[in-house]
Amino acid sequence: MASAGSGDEKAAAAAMITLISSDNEKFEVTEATATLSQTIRHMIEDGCTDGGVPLPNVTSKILARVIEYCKKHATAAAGEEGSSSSFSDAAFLEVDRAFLEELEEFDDAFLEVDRATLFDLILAANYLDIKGLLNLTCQKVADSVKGKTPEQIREMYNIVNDLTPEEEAEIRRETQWAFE
Amino acid sequence: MSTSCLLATAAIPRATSHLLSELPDTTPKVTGRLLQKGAGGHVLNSSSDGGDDGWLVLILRISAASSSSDPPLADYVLISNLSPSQVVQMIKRRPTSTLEPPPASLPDNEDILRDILLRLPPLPSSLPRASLVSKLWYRIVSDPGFRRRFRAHHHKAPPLLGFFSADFDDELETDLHVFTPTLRAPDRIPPARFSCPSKGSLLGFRHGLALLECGLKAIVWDPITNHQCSVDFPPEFNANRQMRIYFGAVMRDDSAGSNSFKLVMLFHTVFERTMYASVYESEVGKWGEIISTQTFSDIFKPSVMVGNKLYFLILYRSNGFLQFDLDNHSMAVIQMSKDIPITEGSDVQALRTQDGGLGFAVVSKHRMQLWGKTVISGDNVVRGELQKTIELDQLLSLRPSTDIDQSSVIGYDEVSNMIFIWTTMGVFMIQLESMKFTKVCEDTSIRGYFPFASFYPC
Repeated sequence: MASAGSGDEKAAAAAMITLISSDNEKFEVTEATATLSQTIRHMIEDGCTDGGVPLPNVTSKILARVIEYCKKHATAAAGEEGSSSSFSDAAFLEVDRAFLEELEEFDDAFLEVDRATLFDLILAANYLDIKGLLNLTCQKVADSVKGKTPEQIREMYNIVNDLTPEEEAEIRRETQWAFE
Repeated sequence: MSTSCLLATAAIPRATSHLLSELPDTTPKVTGRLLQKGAGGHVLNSSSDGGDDGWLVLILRISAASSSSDPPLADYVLISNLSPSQVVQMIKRRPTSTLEPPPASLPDNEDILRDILLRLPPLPSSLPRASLVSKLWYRIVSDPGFRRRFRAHHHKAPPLLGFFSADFDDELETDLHVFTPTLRAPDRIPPARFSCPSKGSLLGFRHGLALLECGLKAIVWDPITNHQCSVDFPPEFNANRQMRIYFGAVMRDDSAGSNSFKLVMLFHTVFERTMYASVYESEVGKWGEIISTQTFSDIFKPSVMVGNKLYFLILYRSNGFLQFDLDNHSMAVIQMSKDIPITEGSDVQALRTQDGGLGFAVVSKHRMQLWGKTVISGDNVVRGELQKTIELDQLLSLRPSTDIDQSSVIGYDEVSNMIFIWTTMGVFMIQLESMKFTKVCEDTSIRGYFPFASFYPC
């Protein structure tokens, strides 16, 4: 039965999905890669992926990056599953750690983009419902705010201060020490 | 001759190219490559071939130092016949130009902003600072639902804000529990922010709540909200009051911050050598059955929670722990195995190890031994493996001539695994995995330090 099972998995892994970006570029990806997106997973389950999946909110430039992320993370997930059956515990832990390190390096490099691209990736991750990517990109923005004063944050992200002086005073009154 | 300086044409922005086109013909054409990423930003520059006249074209991109991926804040083009180092000095004095478009704005989507703000570090200054950015940020951060999610997102790691210790107040002629912050500015909450409501004895903290014993009552106090709840002891605890000494532990029903809590109170009568215990649940508003076991202790340290069990150190004739099982409300006395060397005058502290098990630290003079991988056998003896031996004088880099003739564990935070050790050279807090340490203060007297870890604001 095990061999039949793995045969099915191979067949499933080989199934291809076509994703179509807002500027009409087509991307062929495996189902394993595509289903990192919950949005696409639901479409596949509902059987409405024939003829390609149009993604009118995602440009080809961003979609290419998103697919790059999904491919890497889908491969890592599959690798981990495969290795668990064929290695001893110690070897598995070793492989596991190596995978995690590699993924971390990949993620770090993946985030080396300008802010506009980072925000587009957040929007795409949100729209496609890719939890890992949304977490990664939101964390990157949160980290950039870390230790910054409200003035620095506004300047960094082009935010207009629309608080009234009374509101500002009210907020500061309670926690003056946090602004020192 | 080629001027040997800085950088490149790979990404000359259009605005700069436009300026370049207005340069006189005599200036050399801009070629080159990225040579240097400076701490203050990226510096772009041409190398000038055949520039016998010494002209130099410098294209400078100023971007935030923190990230090379941020868009540049400004571009400059400088034409100069000065040496590169002189040019760089000139540029430093130039005001910011507005050639680049304003920085990219965050996506206009409240859910996404919420997702970002949830991931701010759980330090005390994070949310106050975020709330001062704009009305939208203020609204998101002040929402109780957001606060709940923020705590849940970080629930494994509320930061250690500082500690409470008893200070004698000359005017009131009594001990007061005073807060001392251990974080640095801007996360350093001033001591006056927390005013302990009771002069009673502090029995311990957990999940951001303090437990005090005051007269015939237990007081549960949340220092952040200043909310307090007073619970009368069951009548059985009150008879013959002078003979009893109380231990206790408090915990929230849900460590991520629900307001309901559980209270475990233990007391013993000195002559009977019997320990009694009862559990109070705020949801029910009642004390449970009173249980007892034959034991006695002459040391009173806060408990450590490991899994769903509390461990109170008991010292009487031999070393061990009173284990209180929160699932079935039962008690057991756990003796420490004889092969764990505990000499006269050493101090023992129960620990929650990194793998979530019971550990303990044995501290004597200048040495600290950490034990882990513990197993409790059927006859209630705990055995473990020695994991680390730390020479405190070496770790804390005390002067070679220094002789720590006494040291004592005065506090422990099970969440951050931070131990507070009193030595004759001052009080130190040491993180037991990284062994990073900080000198907290000079303190001539040995007294309990009660570490306080919580979210702010909660």
